[in-house]
Order: sequence, then C-alpha cells, then structure tokens
Amino acid sequence: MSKNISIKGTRDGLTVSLGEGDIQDLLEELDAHLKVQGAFFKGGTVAVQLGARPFDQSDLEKLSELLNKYDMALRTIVASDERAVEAAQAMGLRISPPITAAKSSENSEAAAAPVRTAVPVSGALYIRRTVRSGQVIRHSGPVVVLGDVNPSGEIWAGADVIIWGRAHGMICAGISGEPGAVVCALELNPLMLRIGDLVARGDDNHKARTKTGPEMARIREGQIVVEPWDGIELGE
Amino acid sequence: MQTRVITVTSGKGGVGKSTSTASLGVALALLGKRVVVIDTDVGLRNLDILLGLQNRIIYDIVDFAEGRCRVRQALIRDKELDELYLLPAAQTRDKTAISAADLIRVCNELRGQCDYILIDCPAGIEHGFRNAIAPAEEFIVVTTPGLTAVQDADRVIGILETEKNARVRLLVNRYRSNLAEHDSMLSLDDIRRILAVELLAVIPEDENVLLQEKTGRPVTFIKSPAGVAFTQAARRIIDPSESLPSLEQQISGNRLSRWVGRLFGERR
Repeated sequence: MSKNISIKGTRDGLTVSLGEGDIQDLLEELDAHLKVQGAFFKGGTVAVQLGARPFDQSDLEKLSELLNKYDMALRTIVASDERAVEAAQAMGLRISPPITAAKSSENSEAAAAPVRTAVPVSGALYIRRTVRSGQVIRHSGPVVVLGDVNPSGEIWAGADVIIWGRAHGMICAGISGEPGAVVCALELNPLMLRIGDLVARGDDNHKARTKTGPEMARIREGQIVVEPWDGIELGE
Repeated sequence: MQTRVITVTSGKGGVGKSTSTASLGVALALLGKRVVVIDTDVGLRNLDILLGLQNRIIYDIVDFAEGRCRVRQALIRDKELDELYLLPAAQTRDKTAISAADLIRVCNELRGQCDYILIDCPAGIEHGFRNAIAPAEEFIVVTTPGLTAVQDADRVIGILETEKNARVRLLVNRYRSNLAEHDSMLSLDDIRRILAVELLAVIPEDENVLLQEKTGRPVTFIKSPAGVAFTQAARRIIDPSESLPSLEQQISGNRLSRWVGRLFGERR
C-alpha cells in the first residue's frame, strides 16, 4: 500500500485516509487497492478522512461511486475544508471535524461534550462501546448499543432503543412522538426513561434493582410499563 | 532515553491526584528512574508542598511559558532523590496563564532527558485539564469508591477515549475493603464494571498519607500499606506484566468475605 492511502478496519467500519497528491491519482490508487481487497470489505460502511485538503462535490460523488462499485457505502467524512463539508452535507453524509492536537486542546467547548448527530435515516445506529457519563448519542432511527450506558450518559432515539448491556443512564425512545417505541436492556435501571411524550424516573435506591433480568419498557394504557423479557408478546 | 509522558487526572477534586502523582514520582525515582513531575494547577499549586520543596521555588511553569526562564532553570531537584525533579506551578496566576502548547513545549524539551514525566492535572474538565492532557500519551485516572468520583472518572475516561488514542488506566484510591459490603459504598467489582478500563492499582485507605503530608516525604518513602501499594503501582507502570500480589489478595479477600456473608444469609 502506498503512503498516500491508508485503509483501516475499525469498530465503526472502514476508515480510508487520503494523503497528499492529485485527487484523480488517489482515486485510481484506491480503485486499484479495492480491486485486490474489495471483496474483503464488501458491504461495509466507510469513513473517509480528507484532513484539510480541498474537495468538492464532484470529487465526493466520484469517491462515493467508486466505493459503491465495491458494494461499500460512504457514510462519514472527516474534513475541515468548507466545501468538502458542504458537499458532504448536501449528500446527507455524516461529518466530523478532524481531531488535531490543537483543536482538542483549544476548542474545549465543542470537544467537552462529544455529541453524535446523525442525519435522518431509517436505519439503526449501532454503537459498540460503553456510552459514558456526559456522552450523548442522538439518532433519528433506532439505536442499538453493545455495551453499557453509564449514569449520565444519554441516548436519544427516534425509535426503539436496544441495549445489550446495562442501561444506567438516560434513555429516550421515540422522541419524535412515536408512542409505539420500546426500550430493551439486559439490565434496565436508568436514571430516567422517556418514551414518546412520557417520562419515568429511575429508582431512588440505586442498588435496589441490580439483579434483574432482561426487561422491556413500553407505553401501555397511557403509562410506561417495564416487564421482564420472558414471555413478552410484541404484537403490533 | 525514551521518555513516557503520563498525565494523572480524575475530573473530581480531592480524590488524590496530587498525592498519587507525588507518591508515584517518588516510587519511580526510588526504583532508579529519572522522573520529572509537573504541577499544572496554576493558582492552586500543592505538589511542591507534598514533596517538601515549597521553599526552593525560584522559577515556575508560568515563568517558562512567558519566556523568563528555560525549563531546566525551573526544575527543582528533590532533597533526597537525585533523579526526581519538580516543575512547579505558579501560585499567583490562574489556569489561563499557560496553554496546551506551553505544556507540549515543556515536554518536548524534556523528552530524551528523563524516563518519566508525570503531569498532575487540576480538577475539572476545563482549560487546566485541556493543558494537562495535551502532551501525554498515557493516562492514569484516579477515583475513590464513591458514586460522585466514579461518575466524574467515567466522564474523563470518555473524553480521553474520544479525543486521545491513548492508554488509560485506573487507580482506585482510598479503598476500604471493610466498607465495600456497605450499600452506599462501591465495591471494586462495581467500579471496574462501570468504568471498564484496565486497573493499574488499588491504594488502601491509610492515615499515613495524611501524616506524611507535613513532612514533605510522600508515603512511598515509608513502609505503610498505601506506600507499598504505590510502589507496586510504579512497578506496574515500568513493566505492565508485573502483577500485584497484594491486589490479588485484596480482591480475593473481598470475594471471600462476600462469600462468607452469603453463607450466613446476609444480603449484599
């Protein structure tokens, strides 16, 4: 692999970093790589790191087309160039600013509370890590977490929230007013639970319910009801 | 000489960041390493007192940041340990007197000249915290077994994980295994479950820490429970494969007592 392109598999999918050089050349080089390794990455989502390099919409479309050719979906752009960010917005991609030493130390406001904002999509957002205190996950569709949601971590989902782990933070499902949304967790003991317009507060005694099994919360007859997962009929 | 830069942080104040920094610094120096400890708590400095060097400060980190001295001129050598140095903070200014870039400059000048740079971070997650984490590639997060400290540690770990591609290890300070069974205390298992990061050390509650403060000789100088635990932590910093026998004992002792509790039908 040349030093101008690096491809890395991460927890969140594939990360492609484009280095210096002519964009056309880089795309050809990427094409050559994917020809060899493409099958291996098939079906994955891709984050492309552009850094501060200028990149316009036609470049972005070419990049997206190239990835589509190998059954990969361009999902996220990491860039600071204004045009690149605009073009990515226009294409409905997720944008995250590049993390640099200067930025993370100077721009403390933005960095202090990392907020993941997703553009409206119907698909689920999959988080494979611990959502820690002060971290906020926002998504217009369902959210799936493989990991814990710690106290004062927050999930704001447009639809269902599924937590394969301990839900100890603030969990909001169906926030766009979807009363049919449910919240499931292996250990459901949140500080606060919100489904649609209804809010329920967690137990005052923190340790009261540490030994529960998997549970599901949903709205029944105008209030939030939590039931053990055993024998739940989802119905419609 | 390969220099490792480690920032000691916690989010919450009063959990023992400075005590841990001083104790680990002394322990590493006693183990033959050359160590620089940096106090970044401008305006509320106290690492100098813990090391008993408060009467030797001529230049401080703000003097360096503002170009009045070189890094080496501001370093104070420990009274007893030839390989331990302190870069003190200023007491007259506030956190905005230095920047992240200043800290990076300090560390760059010291790189290659010592084995370890330990940076004592101020409480909070604001400017002072940003300064202290900027140059480091390793982090020790200090917590005590209480919900407030653990939640703040969780926040800090989240920030470090998101912004720094770095090794983060946990130091549980002032641990009282006899109280872990109590409902309002968090057991070591609880803490590890919530924070889910590598455990560096568990330091037992030990009044010697307080008693040593006014002598200016951190607890690692004497044979006390906390001193021994800090020395073991330092060994583990040097060599990650080093195990902690007393820690294991502590954990298994804890499990045993809980098990005994269950035998007798106590509720946890």
